[in-house]
Amino acid sequence: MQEITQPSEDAHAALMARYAGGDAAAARLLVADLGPRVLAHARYMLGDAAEAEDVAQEAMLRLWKIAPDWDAGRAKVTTWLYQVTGNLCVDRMRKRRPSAPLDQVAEPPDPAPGVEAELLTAARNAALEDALQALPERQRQAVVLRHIEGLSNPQIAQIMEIGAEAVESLTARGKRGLAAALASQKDALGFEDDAV
Amino acid sequence: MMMEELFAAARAQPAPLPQALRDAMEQDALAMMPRAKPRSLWQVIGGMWGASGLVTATLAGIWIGAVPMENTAVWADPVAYISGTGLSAESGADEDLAWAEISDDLGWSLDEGV
Repeated sequence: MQEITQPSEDAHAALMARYAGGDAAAARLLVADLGPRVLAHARYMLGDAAEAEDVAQEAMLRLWKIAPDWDAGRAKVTTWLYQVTGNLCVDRMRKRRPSAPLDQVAEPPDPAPGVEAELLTAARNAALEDALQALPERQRQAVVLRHIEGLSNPQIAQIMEIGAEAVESLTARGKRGLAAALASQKDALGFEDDAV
Repeated sequence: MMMEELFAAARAQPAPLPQALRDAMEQDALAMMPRAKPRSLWQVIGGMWGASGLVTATLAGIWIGAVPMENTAVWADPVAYISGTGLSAESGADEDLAWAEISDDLGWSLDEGV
């Protein structure tokens, strides 16, 4: 799988130092770069936009709090932030209803022939989000970090505080679960070949 | 294949950060931002190196101000002037004579100061 290019971790650490030194512009740059990632991660984890925004704001708040004591040699900023976001999401998920079983995943809207490509993409994203919500939380987190956020297995292992083999196992099982949940919607989502 | 396309589509369309949430994050950041520590006088003048330069310049200024301008031999050998060696009343007189000769050659008058 192709790795997603991320801004330099050194740049994040430098921005953290600038922020800790009282530079407001550094805070804006950190929000612009890290805010969307945190929000996306929370959204895929929680499947709820409003809750995801709460979590994203809380995660960034914790980043501001730790900035004066940030040790650049200890961890990457993104790793730390994904870890905090993941933990906040897990806390929220445990406080609410249990996950819906895979067979209760909502059907995506039927993309009629001629529908705009954007609508089809939106339908695919909605189906993926619904299917992700049906996965156990650890599998969901691993799949999101690996296949959507584009992180490496060692980085995911660090975020989830597990071994690299466990990451592989979680992502593989999660991907199989997603494939099973989405198999019945293949035609509706505009996929014509048999491969899942 | 289908899964990879779904993941790719999700990566290609990251959730945008709503403006209200961006504003809230930035406000939190400003509220939590540590205040910049005021710089001490020692830091303002540049630490040890800056202070050394400042002291040297100050002493040089005092010295320049204290030296009689007519005693031009001092400029040639300031160490001798300070230590009191190699500088005498005659040497000052010799210097004055040398300057007078140079001034005459150039058509200047020392008395007129031009």
